[in-house]
Amino acid sequence: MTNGRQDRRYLWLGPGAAWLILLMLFAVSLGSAYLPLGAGNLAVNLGIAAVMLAVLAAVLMDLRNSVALVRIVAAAGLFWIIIMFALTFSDFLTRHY
Amino acid sequence: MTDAALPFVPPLDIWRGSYLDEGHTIASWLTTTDHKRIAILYALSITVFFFIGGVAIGLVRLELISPTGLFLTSDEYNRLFTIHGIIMVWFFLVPSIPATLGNFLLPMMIGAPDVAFPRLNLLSWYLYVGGAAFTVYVLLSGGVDTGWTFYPPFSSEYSHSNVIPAAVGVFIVGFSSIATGVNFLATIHMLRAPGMTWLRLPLFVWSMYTVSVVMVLATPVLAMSLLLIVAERFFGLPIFDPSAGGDPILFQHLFWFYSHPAVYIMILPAMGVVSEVFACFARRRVFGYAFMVFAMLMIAVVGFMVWGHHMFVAGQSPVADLIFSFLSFIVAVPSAIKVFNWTATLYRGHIGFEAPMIYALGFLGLFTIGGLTGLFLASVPIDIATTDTYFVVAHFHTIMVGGTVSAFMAGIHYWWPKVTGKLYNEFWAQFAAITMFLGFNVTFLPQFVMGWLGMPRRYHYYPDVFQIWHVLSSGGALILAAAYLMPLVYLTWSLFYGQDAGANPWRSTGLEWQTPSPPPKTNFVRPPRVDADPYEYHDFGRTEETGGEARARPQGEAT
Amino acid sequence: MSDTAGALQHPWPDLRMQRAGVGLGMWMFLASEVLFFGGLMVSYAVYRSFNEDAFRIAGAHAQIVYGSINTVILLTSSFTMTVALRAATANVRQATLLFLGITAALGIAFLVCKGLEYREDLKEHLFPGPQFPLSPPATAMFWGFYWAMTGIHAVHLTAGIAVVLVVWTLFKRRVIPVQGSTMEGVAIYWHFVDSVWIVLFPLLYLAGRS
Repeated sequence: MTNGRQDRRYLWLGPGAAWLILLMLFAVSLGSAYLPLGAGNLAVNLGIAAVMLAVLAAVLMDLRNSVALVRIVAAAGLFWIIIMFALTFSDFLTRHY
Repeated sequence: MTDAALPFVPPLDIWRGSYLDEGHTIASWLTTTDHKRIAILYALSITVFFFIGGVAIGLVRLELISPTGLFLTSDEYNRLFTIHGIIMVWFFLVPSIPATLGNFLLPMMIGAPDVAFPRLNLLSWYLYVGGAAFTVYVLLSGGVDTGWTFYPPFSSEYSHSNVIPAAVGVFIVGFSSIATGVNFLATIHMLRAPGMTWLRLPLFVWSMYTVSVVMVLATPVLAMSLLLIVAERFFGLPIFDPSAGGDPILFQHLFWFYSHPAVYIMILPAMGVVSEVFACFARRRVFGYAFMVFAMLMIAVVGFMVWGHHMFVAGQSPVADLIFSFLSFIVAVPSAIKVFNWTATLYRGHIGFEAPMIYALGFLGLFTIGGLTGLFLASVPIDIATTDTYFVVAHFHTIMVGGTVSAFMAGIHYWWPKVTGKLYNEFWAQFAAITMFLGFNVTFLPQFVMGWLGMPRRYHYYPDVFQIWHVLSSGGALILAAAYLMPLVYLTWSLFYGQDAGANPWRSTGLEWQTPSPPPKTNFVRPPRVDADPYEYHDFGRTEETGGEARARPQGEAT
Repeated sequence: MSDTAGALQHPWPDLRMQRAGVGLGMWMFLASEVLFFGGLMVSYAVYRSFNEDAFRIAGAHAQIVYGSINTVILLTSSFTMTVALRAATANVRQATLLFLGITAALGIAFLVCKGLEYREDLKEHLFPGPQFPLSPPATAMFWGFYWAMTGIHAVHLTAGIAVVLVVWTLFKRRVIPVQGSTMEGVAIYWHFVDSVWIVLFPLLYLAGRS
């Protein structure tokens, strides 16, 4: 590109911030795993993983700037996985044998 | 783009030959990225597999004439019906309409020059061939005996047959479905011609849209379930092994998460085809177009939530039985909407009984029989009594084979002049259509009866009381075989001796008819533009006075 | 720098739509992949909910150090991939090649690290089979998932590395311009493979740490 520096910074500034946030979240998740929280451990770890996925999707995969259609496709994957979990567990959580 | 009324026969100086003239060598076909040629590659391959699967079940039906068998060992019997199921489901029914008619027509119906990713389209065919190669290997090396459903623990631990190659073949062919689905979705979203709004899409395009959604979101789960079977059988990972706390029923959840929607993968395209055929041969607008669209979307979504009705007696919890039973009844609603709308489309139409129409009417009958018996099976108490009987076999064959194959044949005949530029022999086609409907019912109505009386499916030997029904059914299968062979003959004959069809022999309104037959490589001589709703048949009815050619919109403004 | 002429593919009318189309197609494929891994996740969830203790016992044997290093590697590779994509979009060819190269190298580093970890695991006979050291029986279930999940993830990553290397070569030899629609699809796929790891890590490495 022609007017150099300004543009080069744009290349890595946003993703760099996201990268640092991801590393930080990862560290928190790893540390929390050693606290005796019982079932809370899994909840915290999965909660942080969900936040990490959100950061990754929004910033690095650029979902925040994408058209509605792409967001719908991404949401569809999520929605169908919820169907899968909900109905599969409708069996396993109601078994009494 | 000078006139809005689309040209039917283009000026000869622009006409540079059809897609069939773009190369005559085998290499030109095997490296083509033209969606029309890929459709033909698919059509030839699935026809081969259809007849392999047909021979397998023909032997089974012959064997079942006698209560104690005629010439097969029980092991051979198991392998034959398994290979029949695997081939017919994954190598014929799932790709049948989408990969052939869909591939050929979808871009033309929306006015696009090709699908969004032409090379991916070719890759999908090669994936199909790759999967097919594994299946042929299974066939030649002695077969597989798990049934097409691959249930563990039999498939993972006990079967001594070729489970892994069979699973790998299905795994690979699944990705060809996914590739086709992604391609179609991107094409419909991105490449519609100017003026082709969502609610102007022909219903066949909508059916391709909904089926692609199902393919893309359901097939991967099948892939994973088969991969886990391979992981257990080959690598010894105890995923479904009860001795390590595994649950074989979990496999059934994963398997049916795909395999129930797979039924909709087979039937949604059929619905699309017959919607086109009914409108054309009754010279009527499709009744309740918007309802038809929403019904298909609803079938596609709710179809994902009913899979547990395959597992009422498998050990699933009673609460889950109740939920899945309820949802299964719900999915019958949009199906019923479609049947009523088709009937209303026919009402007061100028119905002509050309072969595609006879096939489509056959679809309507079989779909209704299959659908209503499906409601029996969605009800838990009845299903408990009829699980794994011939009643179930007859139900799902009627709907996914009777329905889909009837519609597939309707589509093949309807679009044959477009694809090949030739007219087939109408008398023989009508004869074959009627034979198929009769043959189908003679084959499967006895199966409904004997299933209701308690004849279990997949049994090699059976009590004498069922013999009469088995003999009737086998006789029907013979009629059906004749009905399947006839089109091979007269359609092939038409390629060489058939009359030239002209651009639009049925005087249809669809965009695919507004271009020469067979179409040029780029589909249209000039980029089309749409300014009318689909199915405007009212304007000219059946009469010849409009000059023998249908028009998208005679009074259209020049643009 | 306007070497985008060769980038437009049949049947797209213009490059902007083509890029959008490739991005859309890749996202659709990812929706499919989400369901693919979803089958694995739901199985894990079912078994873990029935065998809470066994999964804790078994999870404590996962190699947390290798796992953590690999997480950092993969997160970093997602960062470099994004920079490569932005450089490609801005048509900064050198930066594209550099960061794409780093991304591939990080991917390979991940696989090497994973290989070392597998060697440790096998030394402890943690592959389900007759010599499997842990009890109760459901611990073998956890390790079944460990091998299946990391194995399938590694296959995905290997495919990603292969694609990145091919694309890198094509860019380097100027067969295709960096500004075309190729990077769009490659980047989204790479991030997806990273996302899968973000979910797998707590399931496989953090169970039973406390």
